[in-house]
Amino acid sequence: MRVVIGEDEVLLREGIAHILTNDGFEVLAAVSDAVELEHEVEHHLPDLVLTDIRMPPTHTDEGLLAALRIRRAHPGIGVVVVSQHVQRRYAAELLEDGAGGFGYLLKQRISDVRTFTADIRRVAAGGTALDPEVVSVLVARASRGTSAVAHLTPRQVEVLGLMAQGRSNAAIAAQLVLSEKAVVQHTSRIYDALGLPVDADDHRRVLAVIRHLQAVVPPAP
Amino acid sequence: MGSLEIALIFIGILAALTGVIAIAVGATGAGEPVADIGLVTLAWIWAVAGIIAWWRRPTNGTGPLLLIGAVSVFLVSTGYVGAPGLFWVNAVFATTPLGVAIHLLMAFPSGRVRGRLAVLAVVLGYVTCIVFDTARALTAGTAAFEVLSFLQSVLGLTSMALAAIVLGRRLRAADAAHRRVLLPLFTYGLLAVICLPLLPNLLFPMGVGFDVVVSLQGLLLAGLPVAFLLGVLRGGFTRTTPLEALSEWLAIRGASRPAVAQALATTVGDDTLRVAYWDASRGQYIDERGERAPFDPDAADPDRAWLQVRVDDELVGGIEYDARMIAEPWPVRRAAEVLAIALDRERLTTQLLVSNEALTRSRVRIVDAADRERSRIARDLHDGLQMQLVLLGIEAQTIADAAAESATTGDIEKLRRGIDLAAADLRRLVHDVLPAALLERGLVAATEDLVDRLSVPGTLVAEVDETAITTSTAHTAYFIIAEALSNTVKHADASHVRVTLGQRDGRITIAIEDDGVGGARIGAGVGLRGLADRVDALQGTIAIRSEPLRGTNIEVELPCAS
Repeated sequence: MRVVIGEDEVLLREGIAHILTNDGFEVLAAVSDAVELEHEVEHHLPDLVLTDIRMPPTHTDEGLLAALRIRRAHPGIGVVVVSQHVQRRYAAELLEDGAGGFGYLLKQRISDVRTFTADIRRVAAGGTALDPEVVSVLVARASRGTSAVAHLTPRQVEVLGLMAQGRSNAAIAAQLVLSEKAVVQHTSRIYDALGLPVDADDHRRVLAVIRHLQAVVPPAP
Repeated sequence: MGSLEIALIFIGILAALTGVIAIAVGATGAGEPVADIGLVTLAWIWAVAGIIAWWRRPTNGTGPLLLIGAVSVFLVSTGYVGAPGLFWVNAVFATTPLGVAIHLLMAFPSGRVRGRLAVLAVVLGYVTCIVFDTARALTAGTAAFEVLSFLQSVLGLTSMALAAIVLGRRLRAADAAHRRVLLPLFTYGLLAVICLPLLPNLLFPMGVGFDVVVSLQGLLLAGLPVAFLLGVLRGGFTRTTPLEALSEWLAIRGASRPAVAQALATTVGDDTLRVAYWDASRGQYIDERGERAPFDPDAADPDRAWLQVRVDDELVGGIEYDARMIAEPWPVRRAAEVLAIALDRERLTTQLLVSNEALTRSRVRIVDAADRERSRIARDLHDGLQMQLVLLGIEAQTIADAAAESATTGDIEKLRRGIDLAAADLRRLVHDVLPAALLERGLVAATEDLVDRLSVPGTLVAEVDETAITTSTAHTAYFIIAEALSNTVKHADASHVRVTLGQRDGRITIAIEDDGVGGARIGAGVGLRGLADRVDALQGTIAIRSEPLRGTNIEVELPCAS
């Protein structure tokens, strides 16, 4: 699996490259700013791009903007954005802007190497990896708003959160120590409650859940 | 004692001497001592009234007019001292006191004759007295004498009629309080003017004695100056002079130049006069804008003179004037003494304005410095500690993996999770210091993130052009919203909160409304107090409406660019 990395801190850039190489990724390029990143992506057309949001020269959001452009230009390339802080708006922009797999994770997640590499492999395969913190913001916001999320049981909310993070039924079952069958039952109830069409495709299922959570509006005062 | 007082004393002495001489001369042989003494006494009464009026109301013209009356009576008295050479003087001026009486009536209360009709009455009056008396004296014993006498009577009556019309109009225009003074004065004045020439014609045919008639005339004439003096001093017109002076003073307040300098320049008659204020803290003279005064008191320019102004021995300023035009410093010094307090006030005002400006600038600098410090801390944490925790986590995990199922693997995993927890704490801290969204995307994104994470349902409506908002304004706005929302969550027990961001006329408007219990106020916590200070420093406004049980509404306006 071929990957291009964008991260301005040299130690972290090398650390990430090291982790990915150890896990069997082929690191084509590891660069320190957004312009170089886009340049390398055009050059290599990798399977996956992993980038920091805040990078030179302005140290604001050029990493994210580059990621969004790459998503539009190359729907086949999975894009993972990492940052020290996660917020709903960036997730929404990544969700809207493109068709392929995307990930949005806290930098701190990198240190849980096994989960992290599994997440980005899923993205490279067209899946989704949304940070639990963003998901909890989305779910909490939805449960206060005009969504049926407020009527779900705590267990169902838990399953919904893991679904939104992009995890498969098997992974959810493993994490919650349930049978896969039980997870399927939970998910179909959640689908019914939220009025989502049942979809066998994991990726499309995740996107539908995230779109539902994102679309919730707060109640009028 | 001022020059006016000195001059008035001289006038008094001269009047006394003139009278004494007239009496002394009249007492010898050819004179008529009784009439002479009577007329001199009359003149003295007029002179005393005139001096008092002039002394008490220096800017009022009544005093000088009364003195003219005194002179006219002295001139009349020349006819009775028994000096043949002076007989003609009496013949020419015998009736001038009547002219002066009309003049006084027309000029009351200011001492200046106002209106064309009034001027005509006064001129006719003097012409009737002086010109016709002269002509009659020259034509005495001829046929023309009778014609002239008739004409004089007609003119005299015309003049009085005009005066009566003017006085009638003035009475009608006056308010009730003034009318009470004007009516008796005018009535007495008019009656006196009419009766003085008519008394002999009326009373002699009735067999009244000459002495009685003359005494009556004398009494009427003596009453006139006393009546006018009382009218000027107590007639309710006393306020006209200070009011005039005050309005002049007020009128120059709007001038480009400081009022004191303007007033001084006018008073001493030097338009190049300049005033400087002493700034004790900086030890230098300053001008009205608080800048160092452009002239140097120590400079040896022989054409310019310099005067220090003190209030209670304390230096408050200085006056620089043209030494060629004003030879002696005392008129400037006297004027400066009068205006010293006003000058001190201007000095304090100037210093206050200057220090206020400096204070405002320093407050803005403090706000900016605090912002820069926040940004630096947030960046340092982001680039330093946050990154190191990621690296430590990775390292711990790498060691755990290498240890492959040994006894320490679990411990190292635990260590990594501990690092993750520390990283999460640090994330919250950085977010509180300066949220990433504010740096990366600006005010609206950061506010949105804030509202997203609220435990109370919230809405954000934002219509702002963030490119027009400076960093310090955006930061202040953000921290106000954050503080207000944190108060809502902690204290308001609200079921909904709404944040509105708008923009108009170069100002950003922020409104945070909740439907909670209310009762919030600026002084209640350090948070809002500090923010109100920040808003103030940026010259914005903050208003809190928070009645118990009716929710809290905080409205803030900030200039987009400070």
